[in-house]
Amino acid sequence: MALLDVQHLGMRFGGLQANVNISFQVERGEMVGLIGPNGAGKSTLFNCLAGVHNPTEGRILFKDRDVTGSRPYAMARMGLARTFQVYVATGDLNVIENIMVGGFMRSRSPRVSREKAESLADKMNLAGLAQERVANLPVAAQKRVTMATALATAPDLLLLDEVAAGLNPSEIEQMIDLIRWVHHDLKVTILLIEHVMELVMKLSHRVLVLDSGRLIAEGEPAAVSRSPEVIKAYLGERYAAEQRGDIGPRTSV
Amino acid sequence: MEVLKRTFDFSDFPRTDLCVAGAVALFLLIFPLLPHSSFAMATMIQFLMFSVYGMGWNTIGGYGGQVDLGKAQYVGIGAYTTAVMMIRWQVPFWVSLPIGMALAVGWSFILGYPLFRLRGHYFAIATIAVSLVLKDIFEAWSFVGGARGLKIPLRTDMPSFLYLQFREDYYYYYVILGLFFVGLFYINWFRQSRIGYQLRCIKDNEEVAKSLGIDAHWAKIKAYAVATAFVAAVGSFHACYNFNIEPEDTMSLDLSVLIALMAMLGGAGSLWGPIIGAAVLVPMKNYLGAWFGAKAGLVGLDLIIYSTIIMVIAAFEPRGIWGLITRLRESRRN
Amino acid sequence: MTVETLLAQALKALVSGLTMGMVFGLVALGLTIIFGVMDIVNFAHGEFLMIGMYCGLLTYSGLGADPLFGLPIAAVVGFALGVGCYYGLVQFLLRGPMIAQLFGTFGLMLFLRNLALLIMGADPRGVHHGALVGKSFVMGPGIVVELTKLTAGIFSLLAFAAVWWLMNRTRIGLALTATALDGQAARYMGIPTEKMNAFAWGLGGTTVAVAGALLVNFWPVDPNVGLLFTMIAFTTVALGGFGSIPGAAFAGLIVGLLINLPPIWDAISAFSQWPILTAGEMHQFKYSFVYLAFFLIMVLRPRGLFGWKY
Repeated sequence: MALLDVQHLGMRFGGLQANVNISFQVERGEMVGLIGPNGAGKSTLFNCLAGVHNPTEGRILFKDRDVTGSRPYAMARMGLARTFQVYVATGDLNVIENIMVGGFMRSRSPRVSREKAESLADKMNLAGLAQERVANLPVAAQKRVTMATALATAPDLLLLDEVAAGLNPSEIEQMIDLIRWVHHDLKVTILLIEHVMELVMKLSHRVLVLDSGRLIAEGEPAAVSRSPEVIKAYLGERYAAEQRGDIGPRTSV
Repeated sequence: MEVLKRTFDFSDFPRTDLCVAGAVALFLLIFPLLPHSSFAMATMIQFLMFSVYGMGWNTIGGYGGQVDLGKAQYVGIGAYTTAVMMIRWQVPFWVSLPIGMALAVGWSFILGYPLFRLRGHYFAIATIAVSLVLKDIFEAWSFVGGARGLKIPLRTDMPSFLYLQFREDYYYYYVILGLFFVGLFYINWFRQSRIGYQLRCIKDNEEVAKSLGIDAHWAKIKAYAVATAFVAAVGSFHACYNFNIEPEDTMSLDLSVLIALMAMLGGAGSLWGPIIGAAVLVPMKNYLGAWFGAKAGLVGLDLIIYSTIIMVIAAFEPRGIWGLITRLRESRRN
Repeated sequence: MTVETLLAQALKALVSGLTMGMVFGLVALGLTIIFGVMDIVNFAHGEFLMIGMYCGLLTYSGLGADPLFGLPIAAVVGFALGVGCYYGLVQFLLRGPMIAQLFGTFGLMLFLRNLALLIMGADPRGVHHGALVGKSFVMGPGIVVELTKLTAGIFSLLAFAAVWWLMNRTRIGLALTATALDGQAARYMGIPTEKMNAFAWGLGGTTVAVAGALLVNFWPVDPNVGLLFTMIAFTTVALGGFGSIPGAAFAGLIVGLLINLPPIWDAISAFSQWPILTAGEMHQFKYSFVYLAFFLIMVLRPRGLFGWKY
């Protein structure tokens, strides 16, 4: 059975249908990318999975249990962790304490969770920043903190929310290595939402494409990137037509 | 064992802090032996009481970031439980103390459940509202003496440790000092415990906290109950120390705010903050009151000075005196 | 007591509740404007009211004029007080966390209250003579309406109309509404939001001080009068929805009725032969009803009874 099984999921906010009849599965050990243009409903889907929104239609099965409409903390305890796009911690918790809070989900003991946090910080290149406040860190380090905090909960499935946004090319390379390490060494299944195509294409075993709230394509990265549906969604009707040769390229720009 | 070790583990503070804390602890222990006026003694007892109030408030208000302005109702529950039990059934203080705490904590669970559906300003105002409702009920309730309150009669077998009735103030001083140290060590454990870290995470960002498996609503209710136990204990002590309790002095909004203010002025969310706040505010309030209260036509001047200080602190250093100290340290290090 | 006199009492309470309710609406108006524009709760709101009351009182006892002449004086004093508080305190508080805002305005409350104590003394003082004071007219058998309360209600309605016109029909009012909706966007549009904030405080101070000057005609003033009205204003604002001006008006009426509930309750219980609590017992709890209403509304309908904003 699949680790995550989404069945005919729909989410409506008043008159706005943000997700329409979305079905897909994520197997244990997979690394799946979720892409789509702005406003395609990726974040809504993500929030439904993490328990922030209660989907208006459909079901979500996680580890074969129906978890539709579970609270975020319950999802986390079941083994589904998530990162945050903008991880702003304004308070007085420093990096190592932030990671410790994640560790406290599995252990009452501060000693155990501190050891766990220190070893994670070590592996994720945060050891030198352990005593810093998160708000004072550069973006790349903040992204690593939100990942480390989520990983400290020892999840089975990790939802990564645009962890490469705002990073420069060399930082993206490091992030790719880091995600590979999480997937391979920590044996965590990963579902990543991403705008940075390079990262999605290099990492994903399989890619899901959302557009206007619908799942329009699914498959291997290379195949998906050639799909006319996807090109249309990303680059517009006209560009797709040009590629097919239906109309000539626009000359005056 | 690990729990016990952490209770007495202050190793994350710099050595100067620990030296100062040790000196203060020593001073507190020997204070009654030093020459002092009875006014100074009363001030010291009040300082200790407000320190413990502040430590309690600090769990939910400082570490949890939920500004609770209704703590006085639990002071009242503690005080009234002790007074009623002592007057009607001759129950000793040391028995009514835990009962008062349990009643207050029970009530706090009932109130906490709906209260923590609110956030920010709404939460703060709602705590005031429910606290005032309870005060109104006590003022109308003849069983607890109504608005005139209760008076604990002096016992014939005075002094009595069991009933906490002494002729000299220093006995009261050592009782409240004992509570003070118990409270201090408990908070020292609390701030390094799982719930302590979880609360600080909730204060930072509740959405993140929830994603880390923290049931934020329940965590807040638990911290609220801890804070309640603290203030109810001091409330019980207050009943025995003052002999005389009324809704107006044990359950008023002024007391609720004073409790929160001590902690905030000293530095909410730090171990020493509430103690520093009480050490500054209580003597200032008492001595300003004594100086200006005696002079006719200057009634209120003490509180004008006092409120000016509150406004200046709120405007320029919201993290309180402890925040100021931390900032000075950081700037010196750089 | 016969059914007729009880009914008459209930009707009187109803009229009194409605007129008082209009004044409560005006008291809450300033709070809701300030909250709407900058999400800050002013604990000193009742003290602003107290200062308005003293304005009316001093016009009467100091200048020997009718307390009604205190209205324009209170308006000017209230505006100056609001703007002064903004530039002297609130603009600094806005940079800090919420806890600082709560305590900052709480400090302001203590400051104003004790300033009044220092200057005016602790005794409650009332207005005993004036164009309206002591006069009343009969609306039916046993239903006596005090002219002071009725006038206060009518003036409050006028003040509401004036503020509504200001907010919706003038440039400065529209700028204020824009600041309330999105401060940052308003700043990019070239609206001086700092000045708008100060203006909101001035407007809030004006309305509440005018309410105070109206109130002093039938409510004695002392330095501690503020807290009760602060709580009433909070409740009214919560009922009407934080930041909603029409909400404040309607909620004021409801709160006015709630406070006048005991006599109505008495009439009902006598009428139905089903006494649960007597009016005397209820009377002690009349403000508890307000606080309880606040609590229940916040928990059950956090956006106010009407769910309006602006």
